[in-house]
Amino acid sequence: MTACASNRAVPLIAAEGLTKCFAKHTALRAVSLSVARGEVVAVIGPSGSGKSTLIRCLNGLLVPDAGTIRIDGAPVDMRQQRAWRAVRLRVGMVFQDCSLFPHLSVLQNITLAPVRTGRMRREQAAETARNLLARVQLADKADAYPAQLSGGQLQRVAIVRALAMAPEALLLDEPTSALDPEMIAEVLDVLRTLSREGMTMVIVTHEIGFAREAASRVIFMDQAEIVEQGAADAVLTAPREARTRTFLDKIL
Amino acid sequence: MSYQFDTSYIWGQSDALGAGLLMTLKVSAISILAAVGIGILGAIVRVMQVRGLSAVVAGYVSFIRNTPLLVQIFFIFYGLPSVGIHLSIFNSGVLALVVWGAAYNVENVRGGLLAVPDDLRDAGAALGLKPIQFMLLIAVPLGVRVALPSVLNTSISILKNSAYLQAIGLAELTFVAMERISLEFRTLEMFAAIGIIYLALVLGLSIAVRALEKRLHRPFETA
Ligand SMILES: Nc1ncnc2c1ncn2[C@@H]1O[C@H](COP(=O)(O)OP(=O)(O)O)[C@@H](O)[C@H]1O
Ligand SMILES: [Mg+2]
Repeated sequence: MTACASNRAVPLIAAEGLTKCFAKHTALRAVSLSVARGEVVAVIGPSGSGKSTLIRCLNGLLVPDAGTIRIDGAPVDMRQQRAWRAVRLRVGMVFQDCSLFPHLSVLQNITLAPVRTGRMRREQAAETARNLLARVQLADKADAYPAQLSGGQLQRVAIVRALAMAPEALLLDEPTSALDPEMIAEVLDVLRTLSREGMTMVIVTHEIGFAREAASRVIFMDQAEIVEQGAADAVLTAPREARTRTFLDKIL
Repeated sequence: MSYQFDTSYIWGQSDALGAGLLMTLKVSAISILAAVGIGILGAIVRVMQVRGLSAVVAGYVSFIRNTPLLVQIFFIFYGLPSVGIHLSIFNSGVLALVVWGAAYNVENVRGGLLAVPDDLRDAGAALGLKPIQFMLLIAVPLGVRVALPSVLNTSISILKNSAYLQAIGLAELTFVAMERISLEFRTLEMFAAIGIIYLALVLGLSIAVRALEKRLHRPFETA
């Protein structure tokens, strides 16, 4: 922890020259991205532009073909699954389709990883889980099963599941895209609170309003590359690049 | 046309049939449970592509599925002693049924494991779980649920195929019936009796597994 405090200047996540190809298709072309502690980075861009590929390369769900990643200054040995697991213990992830384990209760979903990765004892993990559930207004759902929850509730549990590992950063891949409109707000509320509390986040989203108010930086991707990035207001209100403008016109 | 079907004869044989039934139950229950356990292990080895072992399991499955069970039983009972492995009749019988049933269960459970969505694998990995932890904590519980109907079919086959063990002299239901028939020639009565007993056993097993299935499905019910 002291190392973190003394390293304020070192980005928490620093990716350089990330490239990822599927067969002949290049999904990510030499992309660099640096995320400081406490920063909220929103990644926007058309479908197929490589947003998911980018954030999945940050925790090794996809192993980049080229490039480097440093976590808190320390380079990740990208060929080693063990090195990726160490990254994942520090950087949590939330998916588009919540992906809770359907045979486990809400509480079991949340405590599974903290207990099995040796982070916490069972009782401690359960207590943490209940506290976090209360924070997202789901204290009464601890013993429910995923099949009994709404989409918005599922996604809030998925966020809590990631938070239970006490991550230093969260990667979120379109966390509200699969939700009915009336459930989007309850999830965005949770994310807004997290951002206010200083959680470092990289979030792929189509919620431009949310990006504008909660993100410190917005990245626009197109065709496997970062086309433009900068302060949320600047990129969203006065984009420099024509491609960014075209995209924003289309979705606003 | 003079054959008199004699129900009372069957009741008179209830001691012998009871002993045979008990043996059938014992050999089947042990074999079914062991075949499920080994089937799960084999499926894990196949799905995780454990180097070397995976090919061995694939070969074993293919060998068992493409040779007659009776040949396998004789191989174990008559063949193994010539390489110094001496097993009792009971142990030979159990071994044969386990080896046979586990091969089918490897395929049954493998199918179930392959049906587990990749999304869940990613979620497990993103949480820092090791592949083996994901396999044991998530994939197996989900995959076995999917595989349960086909595992039931294999288990029923194990139960029915225990009748083959009369060929090596295991005193199970069919053996007992054959023995009585060779002494008293009440063929129809005896085969009718054991036919009904096998039917009841299979139905009982099905009902038990359906109940288990229902129990395991409980988390998936909405509200
Ligand atoms: N597993 C995969 N296999 C092959 N092609 C893929 C795979 N994942 C993504 N792609 C391709 O890579 C490109 C970028 O995909 P993705 O990162 O998912 O885009 P986005 O998240 O921005 O919609 C797309 O053209 C997509 O078809
Ligand atoms: Mg995507």
